[in-house]
Amino acid sequence: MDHPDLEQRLSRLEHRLLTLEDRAAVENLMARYAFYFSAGQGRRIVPELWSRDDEASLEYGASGVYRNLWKVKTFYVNAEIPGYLQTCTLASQWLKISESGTEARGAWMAVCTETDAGDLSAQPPTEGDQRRILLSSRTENGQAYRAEVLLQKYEVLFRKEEGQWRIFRLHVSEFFRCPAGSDWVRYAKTRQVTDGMWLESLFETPDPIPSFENLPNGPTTYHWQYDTDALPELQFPLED
Amino acid sequence: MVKKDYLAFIGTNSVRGSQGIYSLRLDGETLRPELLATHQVYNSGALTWGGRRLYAASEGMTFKGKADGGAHAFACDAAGILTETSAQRSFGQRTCAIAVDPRGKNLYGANFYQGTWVAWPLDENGDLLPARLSVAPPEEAGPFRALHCVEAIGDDYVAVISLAECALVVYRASNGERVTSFVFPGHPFCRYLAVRDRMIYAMMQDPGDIYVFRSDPEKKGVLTLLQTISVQEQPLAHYATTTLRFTSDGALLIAAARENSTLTLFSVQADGTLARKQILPLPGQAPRDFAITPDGRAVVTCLQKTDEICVHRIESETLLDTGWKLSIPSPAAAAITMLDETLRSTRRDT
Repeated sequence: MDHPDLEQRLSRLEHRLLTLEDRAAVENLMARYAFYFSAGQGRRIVPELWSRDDEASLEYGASGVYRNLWKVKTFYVNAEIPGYLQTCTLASQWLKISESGTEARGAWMAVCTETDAGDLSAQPPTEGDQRRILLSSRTENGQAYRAEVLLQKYEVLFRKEEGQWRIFRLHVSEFFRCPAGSDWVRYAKTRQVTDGMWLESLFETPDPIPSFENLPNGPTTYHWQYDTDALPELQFPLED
Repeated sequence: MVKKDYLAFIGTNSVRGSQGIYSLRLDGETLRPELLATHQVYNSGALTWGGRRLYAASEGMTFKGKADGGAHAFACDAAGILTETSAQRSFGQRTCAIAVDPRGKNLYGANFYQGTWVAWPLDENGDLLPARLSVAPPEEAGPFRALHCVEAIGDDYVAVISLAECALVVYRASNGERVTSFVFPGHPFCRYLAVRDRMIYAMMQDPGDIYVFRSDPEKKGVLTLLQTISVQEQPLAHYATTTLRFTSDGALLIAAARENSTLTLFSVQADGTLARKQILPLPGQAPRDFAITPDGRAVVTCLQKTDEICVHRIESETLLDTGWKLSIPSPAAAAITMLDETLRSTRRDT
């Protein structure tokens, strides 16, 4: 005996269940991302969490778009220095699974910390190194280091590849960053001076790269960061 | 007669312990370079001396908190100490080339990303005023809108090398009106420009060919191709050329190529065409830029990959190694002036 209504209901329920399973899988994917990122496991992030498609891309602040997996990898394999610590806590999740169940879009707020032990590390930067300007904190005896707090936004496009959800596009925006002992208003102008050299350092890697230079493939798509005369913007469409 | 010293500026990428822009004195007799001072500035990928100010392109992704490029102007004293006197954004990221027009009224900048070129008026001190013009490539240029170089053609026209269009494009300097263009055949990767009077020399990064044009911008559409000549004797798989510069008398033109780390010296014929005179292997890798002293006696070359600069002298239309080198992390840009000119300009300012 046929029960078309029941079959339709079952089909809808099955679709909803699959969508919920997809949501859970994407949530776990991003949780793994945050834990790997915060535990110095950058080398695992691209092989385990990112798309296998070489067109995958990452954009960080005003970095421009780094496309190709080897370029994305340089972002994660760049700081295996004792005393260096990055942490990332994702919150305020917005997530949408496509009807087809093959793509998803998500956005998160991220509360983060970044530490470069500087003079306190086993490999302190040389006295003349331009990037010492980034070492914004000082110990009582004058040793320079960097300990910053950040508020970020993660926007992610996911793809399901061979049954696994993977990151295909990642755009990280920064609302602000500032030394832990300062604040984002006081630090806004100093940040403007140091932004560029800091940004470029994010994509340096001790590993060999297959090209002469590691430059972005394209310009910044959009960028906003706190300044004393700036108004916040909603830059990511949140349609349910 | 005692030869005057030179003041050289080396811009660096912000890597490998770089300290920004390095000011050097080159001994007028021996050409020996000596470090005078460093100035912390981020990613100064192109430099030019404008008579009263040193201009530095900000070849990064951010400028003063914006996703933008820009340019800085610096006053300089005889001790090589730089003081930033002005800075302006460029309305495009990775400002990769800058050029001052002959009368010193404008600084032009080319942005690798967004493919815009920009005109900053210069005030009486040579300081940068906000851009009066930002010129975008045409919509049909497609999404990759990169420019690689900009030069002034006299005071009235501007030439750019457009990667997006694979073309040399000439604009009117006053209003950014597009005047004419030449699309390079075979889609080479185009790189750099040198302009002298009405002659335009456009160099491809790969393959390493130089296109020699006579221009007559008043006659709309007129760019006459006179010659195409390679920077190498024998074809190479890659050239990776970088910079093309004249000696101040216009008699010689020098081109740099990274792949085999050479400088190629051309003599300029009466009709503006080039004759290749010398291909000089350099004592280090990846000549990203070089500068020629105003009197045409010496060349300072940035060896980006080996973290040093080297000095050659020019004698009888030949480049000769002086043996002088100086360690500088990731040198990427060079400019030179006479040390006394710097002193004069400083006195005028103060």
